[in-house]
Amino acid sequence: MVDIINNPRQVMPGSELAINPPFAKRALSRWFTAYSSALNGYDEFSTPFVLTGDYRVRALVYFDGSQTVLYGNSAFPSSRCQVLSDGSVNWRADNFFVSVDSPAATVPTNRLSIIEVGRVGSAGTITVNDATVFSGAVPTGLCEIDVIARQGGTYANAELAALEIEKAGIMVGDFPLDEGPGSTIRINRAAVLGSEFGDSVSLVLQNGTIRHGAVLSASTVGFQDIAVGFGALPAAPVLVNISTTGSGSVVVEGGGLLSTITAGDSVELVSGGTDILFKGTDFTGDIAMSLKEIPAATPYATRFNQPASLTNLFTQVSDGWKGEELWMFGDAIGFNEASTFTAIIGTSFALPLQIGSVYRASGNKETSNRVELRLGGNQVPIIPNGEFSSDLTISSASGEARYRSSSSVFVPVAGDLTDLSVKRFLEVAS
Amino acid sequence: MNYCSIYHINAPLTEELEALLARHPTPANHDGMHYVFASAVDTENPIIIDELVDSEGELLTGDALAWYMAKILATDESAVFWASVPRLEQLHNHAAWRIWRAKYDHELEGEGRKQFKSDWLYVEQMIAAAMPEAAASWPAYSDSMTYQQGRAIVLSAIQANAAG
Repeated sequence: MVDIINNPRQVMPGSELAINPPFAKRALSRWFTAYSSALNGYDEFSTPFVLTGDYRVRALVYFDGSQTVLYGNSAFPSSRCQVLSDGSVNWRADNFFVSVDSPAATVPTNRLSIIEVGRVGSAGTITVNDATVFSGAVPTGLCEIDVIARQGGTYANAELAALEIEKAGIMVGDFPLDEGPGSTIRINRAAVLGSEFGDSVSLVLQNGTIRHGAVLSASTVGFQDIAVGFGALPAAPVLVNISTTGSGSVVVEGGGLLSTITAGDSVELVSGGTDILFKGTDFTGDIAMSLKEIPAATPYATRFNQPASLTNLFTQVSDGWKGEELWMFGDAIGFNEASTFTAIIGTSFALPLQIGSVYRASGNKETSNRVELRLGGNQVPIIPNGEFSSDLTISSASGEARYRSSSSVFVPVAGDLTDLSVKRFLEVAS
Repeated sequence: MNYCSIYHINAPLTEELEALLARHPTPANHDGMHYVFASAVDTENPIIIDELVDSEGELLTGDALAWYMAKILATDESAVFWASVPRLEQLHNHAAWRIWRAKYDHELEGEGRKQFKSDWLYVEQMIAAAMPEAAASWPAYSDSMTYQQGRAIVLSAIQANAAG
């Protein structure tokens, strides 16, 4: 019996994708990962996507003005799509070194954009934010894609938030790239999974003692194997879905990943050839686990060189996504003499900022005095009284917030700025 | 703070380095000489790049930080660096580092020569303004200069001025 995570999107070549990309239909918050070129951050598919004939790839990416590889081949710089520093989309439609390009400034800087490339016969199109920016002949040969955010020895330097791969009208790769910092793999939501490997099993872990048939061990310290009922796990990758009920938490080890699951929660991971192990000292309840084979045709992805600090939770707002709170100040922010930037009292932090990124500062201003808020090498005027929200593009990693009265005419007032909040901001292209 | 770490490829294979290699089997190695790992493991006396200060107590940033880093990278195979990702990105995008990497055409799709010339002139101005002791080691830009020659020049310029 075949199990399907998501319904495959049966669309005809050349038509629009049947549904919106994951970022549009998901919950109001999601994870974004900033792939770092300095760290060679990327994702690698368990087996390459081999595309012959018609295909389409769509990505959601935050372009910050630096070269940004969406996908490619790790062995050689072909079969790839990237945004160059001038804002043009550069696409090699097959394994040979023939590129087509959109005009410069096609992709807006410091915005989240949807970039789509598609091949029908020899007719190729590049679309950016629903506007066709290239239309013409492209090579028709074999296209092999095995990495995200990388091609050859070149790596992306931007947030990638979703990648979808459609082969002859069938979605074969659906990667929301919405995994948290603790996940070492990225699940393919278009995966057509094999049958349950052995029987799904429900186990009871009571105060660290696993009970499934016989008690395996009373130890509450080391990891314990509860993959009973499955026999030896296959060497081929399997998708493991673990869900829990009860109380407390349990630590699971599988596929090189350590996860802590709070009772009532669940986790997905990929493993192969090694058993799934558990331990817990305060957990009491059921652990349900199922393992299903991942066919090579719908591979998963493994994450490389992505430190936890680069994967952050963002919340959707009307014009984009706001990151987690970096600094929040309630009131009584000290003032300073006019025209001299002074550190805001209470901002003695040393949190480095992402250069080139946009940060959104918001809060309340109590007077009509014009002030300027300075952050990461740039400043923005905050003129009216009342609530304000201003965006700054960062040019220095130094994370110190400063502000000043922008004119000596205005008398500084203590406590003028209140409820100051600073968050990373990813604006969606209009 | 979560730090990344930098080791020379010939650094002693300590337990810490072994742990990092196990954790990050494909670390970045942009210059053929140094591994950049996406995390750090406790070790003795790491150089924490984000906390480096000058004689007046000001944080080292920009050219001064790049020059300081370059001197150690070029002369000490046992040095271990820790850095936040933004600091690493800052250094990764510095002109002197790009000249040392010598990978222009590969990464910039034909814009490489233009970028190389721009980087060369930037470093020349940086040396003239703040590091006159290195001026004699930095020849004028030439269209016939290869990227590999540029790499050799930047290394010799750093090594010749590593003291102090």
